Amino acid sequence: MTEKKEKWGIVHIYSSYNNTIIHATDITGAETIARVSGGMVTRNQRDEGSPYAAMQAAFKLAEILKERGVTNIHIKVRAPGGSGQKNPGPGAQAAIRALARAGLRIGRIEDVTPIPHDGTTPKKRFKK
Amino acid sequence: MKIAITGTPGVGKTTVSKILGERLGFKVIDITDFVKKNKLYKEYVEEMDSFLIDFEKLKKALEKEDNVIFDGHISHLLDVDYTIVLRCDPKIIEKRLKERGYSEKKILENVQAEILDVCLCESKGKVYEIDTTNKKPEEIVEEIISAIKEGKERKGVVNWLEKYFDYLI
Ligand SMILES: Nc1ncnc2c1ncn2[C@@H]1O[C@H](COP(=O)(O)OP(=O)(O)O)[C@@H](O)[C@H]1O
Ligand SMILES: [Mg+2]
Repeated sequence: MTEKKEKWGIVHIYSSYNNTIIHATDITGAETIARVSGGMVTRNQRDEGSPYAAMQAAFKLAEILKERGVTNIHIKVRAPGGSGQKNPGPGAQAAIRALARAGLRIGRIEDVTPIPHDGTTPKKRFKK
Repeated sequence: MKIAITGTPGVGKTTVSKILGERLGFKVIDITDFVKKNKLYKEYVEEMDSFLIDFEKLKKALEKEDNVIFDGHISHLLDVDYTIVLRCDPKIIEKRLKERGYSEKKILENVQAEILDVCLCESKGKVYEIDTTNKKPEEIVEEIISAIKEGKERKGVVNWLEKYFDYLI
């Protein structure tokens, strides 16, 4: 058997109130491998931001990644949460679960949700 | 009655709150000013050029307020009866924050927060969202008054994510 080198990528999950976009790049973040949105996997515009759409989008993206030989991913989540300060939105959680279930090996998961701030801030920013 | 006027910095909260306060005869508290003036923060966060709010102290200081408008981008995290979430085209917010002299980094993070509906997603209870793009402040105030009068609730009126995806990468 030949030894295969593991290929890594980054999956960026953007989850807003109405929509989820999942964007895969190479490990440097510079080159796009694929981009799938909630709108591409649902018929109803109202459902674009639903956990179900996020899950479908993630499965679709995982398929493309595997075709390209990407087996391992780091995840960067941008998903404002209603509940806990650190919890990503429902779309994001569904997407992460789907990526794992599709057989991708997951390394780091980073919460990089932007924080509104003027001269005051509700929380400290993630380290870049 | 306690009303939160929330939204991304630059969206127009202070402009709207002042007019709304006059119309309703309510006191208006600018949360950012209030936090700074009364030192209701834990520390200064250099890389954000902002004070980290001490919510315990802030809530305590606001405990006795009533018939009041809380004007601020975190006002939806306070105990209120009604939350108005103002929205505005991210490109306009970018321009306004540039005029305010914010750093590129600070402008970008706020613009990204607007694109991802951060203030809206965090808002709970009775919430009414308004897209203020191309609306006059007086017009927005009228809409708020009628929403509150009729107890209207609304979420999900804008979808910037698809349109402004380039700002996120
Ligand atoms: N509806 C509006 N139409 C045009 N300009 C506006 C409107 N609302 C606010 N502005 C302008 O935008 C800038 C930011 O408004 P401000 O009320 O200070 O925002 P915030 O308090 O949300 O940071 C100000 O220069 C203000 O005059
Ligand atoms: Mg203001």
